[in-house]
Amino acid sequence: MNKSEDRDWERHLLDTFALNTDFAAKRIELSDQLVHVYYFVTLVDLPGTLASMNQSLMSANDGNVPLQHLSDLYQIDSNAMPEELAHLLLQGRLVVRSPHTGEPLIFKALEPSISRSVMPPENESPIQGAIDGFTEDLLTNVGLLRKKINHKDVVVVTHAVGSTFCREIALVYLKGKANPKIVQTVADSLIRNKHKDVRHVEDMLSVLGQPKISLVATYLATELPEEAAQNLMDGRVVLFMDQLPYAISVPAILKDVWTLKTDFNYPFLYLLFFRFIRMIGIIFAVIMPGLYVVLNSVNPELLRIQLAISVAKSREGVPYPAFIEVLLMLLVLEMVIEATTRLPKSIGPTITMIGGIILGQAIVQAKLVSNLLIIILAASTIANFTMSGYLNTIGIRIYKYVVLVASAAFGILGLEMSVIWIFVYFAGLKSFTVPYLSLSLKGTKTDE
Amino acid sequence: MNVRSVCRTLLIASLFALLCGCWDVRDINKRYLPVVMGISEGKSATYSIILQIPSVSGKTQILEQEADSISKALDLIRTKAEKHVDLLHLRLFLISERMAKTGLDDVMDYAIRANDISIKGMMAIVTGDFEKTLHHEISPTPEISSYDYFSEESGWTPNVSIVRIWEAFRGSQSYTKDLAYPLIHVGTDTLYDFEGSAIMRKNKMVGALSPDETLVYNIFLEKYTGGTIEAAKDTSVIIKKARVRHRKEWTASGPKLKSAIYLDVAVSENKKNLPNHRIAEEIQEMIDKKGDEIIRKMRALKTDLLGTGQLFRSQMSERQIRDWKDVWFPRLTFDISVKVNIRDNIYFKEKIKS
Repeated sequence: MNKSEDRDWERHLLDTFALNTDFAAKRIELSDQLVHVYYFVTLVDLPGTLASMNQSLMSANDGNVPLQHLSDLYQIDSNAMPEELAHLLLQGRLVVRSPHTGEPLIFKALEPSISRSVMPPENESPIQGAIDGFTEDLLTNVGLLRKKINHKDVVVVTHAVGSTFCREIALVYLKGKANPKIVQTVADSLIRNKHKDVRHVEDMLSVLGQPKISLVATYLATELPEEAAQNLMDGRVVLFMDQLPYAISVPAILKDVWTLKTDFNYPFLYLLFFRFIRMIGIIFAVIMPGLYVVLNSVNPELLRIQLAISVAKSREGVPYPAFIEVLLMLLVLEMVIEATTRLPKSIGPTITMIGGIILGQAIVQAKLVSNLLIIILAASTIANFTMSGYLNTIGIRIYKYVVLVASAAFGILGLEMSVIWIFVYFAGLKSFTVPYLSLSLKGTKTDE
Repeated sequence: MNVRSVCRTLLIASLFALLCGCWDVRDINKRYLPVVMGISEGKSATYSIILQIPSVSGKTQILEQEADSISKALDLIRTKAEKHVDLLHLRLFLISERMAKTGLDDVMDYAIRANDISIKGMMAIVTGDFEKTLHHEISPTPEISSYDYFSEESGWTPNVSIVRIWEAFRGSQSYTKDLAYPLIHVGTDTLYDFEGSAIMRKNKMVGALSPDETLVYNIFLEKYTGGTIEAAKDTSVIIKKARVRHRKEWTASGPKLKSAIYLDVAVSENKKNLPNHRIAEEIQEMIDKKGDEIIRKMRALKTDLLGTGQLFRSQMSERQIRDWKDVWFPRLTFDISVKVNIRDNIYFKEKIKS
């Protein structure tokens, strides 16, 4: 076997990956036959793979088992196009040239240990619930989910999307629970947009046909298999992207802003209490800064006189109008939140402390803002983070500026208007055929 | 984003420019928020206006001005004030007795028509030295005691009558109902002393009720609950609940009204250990007597303070309603009976009759 005997697909592979030093084309002995293998040394643990393949061959009765019949365990696809072969190689497969026909045989290979094991989630902290989190590996994630929901009707469909980047996306749903319309929509758009490259979640949302600009997230992302399992039970479709340690559940509805699926691990009364607190938190987060402006400059008659006097006192000597004051402080606060989000844990406390000093004491003593405003902003920021899901907090964080501007211009009427406005917006929002304002996803009622 | 939506956004944003009226808002620390407005006759002009502005420190700032009209006086105050004078929090109108006797038509018109004055504010009439009452301060009690005196959430007691501006306006326009404004006087250890009530006919003060009579007046209006009354020398009771039931009749000789007052009371002091029925009798007697006095006063002044005309409105023609106070009210046969139910006599067990 020499170069001149190379098949088209082999030449294609060699051309495509010619510049890669970790791409290997080797001749090895496999069950007494010399075969050509193609793989990436960084993605495939060759000795391990060969050892287990040899073992399987040995266990067969006679040594003459053709390689292509080797084992269903290893062989995943036989007749693939050259481009697909390249993708499969990049996914860590082993391509073997059949010694008899010269066609490519694709084997699932053992990976060198570059994936992390299942660990508690980094960004979500479940209390009184299962604490294993998703990892980067798609199959591990699907396995974790299957473990959490032992149900024969769980359906897992894997799609490979992308033309230059290959990405595996697993679509999981619970037959019988999931609304067939939603499943159909998601599956159709995955197939229709097969050629689109998916690198980020945003790419996937565009594959799924979601609007580019949307105030609230139309999906739920979670690191917890338990949450994902409950999402399945609720009738959602769960999507996994390879190398993304999150389960993305679609569609999201308004209720998800205040519900956590792990709430069900608590007695019912506690669940009601948590959800009530979160709802109050949402209202606080949205209206507090606007309300401050309303009460301070546009409609002070709404305050009780006792409060009005002490509010006036706390604003003595503050040079800016209330609107500018609030805007200024909100921006500083957003910067603190943004700065602390991704800081290394060793620097985080410094920013917190400096932020605390600036926001808490110095700025009030310098009479740049009133101390009532600090209370209002702190309350509104804390309230903001009572909501369930990090994604949902951001929409509310943005929307409070709309409320603020409307309040500054139109007073209490502006505040009311902007609150009505957000509901009008929600009412017009529809993700995956489901109206955002519906209360459940079962599809049993006409408005769901 | 396409061109159309950009245009639309710009258009909406440009609408804010039209909001010139809404942008010149004043922050709360740039406003004076007076709580009390005193209105009396001026020395050199028709009106003298005094505004009391509370502050957290406990000091009350006072702005004064005389002018021929209330709005002109306020305008002059605004001119000299370093902050915007905002009447939105005005809660109490104090009017001098002399002014009340000459008539409050202008004051009432102003209070109702001014957009920035809340019609939930209260009215009271000040007897004695008006200036002194308005300037009276009892430090270190902070700020708003003058308003708190009438506030049902703080200092109000059922002895004091409350009249809100809208009620006063209604009373001044009504053919069949008159009002009693509280009468106050500068206090010694507190801000005000309660002097009774002023009987108003239309917008004029025509007479006064003593504090005791005010109490019965309040009972009749079912407002008097939680207050203590002295029945006899050594007995006092707390009124838990007061209900009034009317039985009306329009006969050939004129209207007839029988009002039954049902009182649920609790005995709070009973030094002589009087039996329940004696206490009840004494209360009945006392209220009967006071009621008769009020009725006599009402007849003499031709004012329908208890609003009896209201009860007959459905039976009267338009003409009769208009003539109620002058023609029909003097002809009214009015009878008040009191029924007392002693709910509990606290620790004073009724002695078992042998």
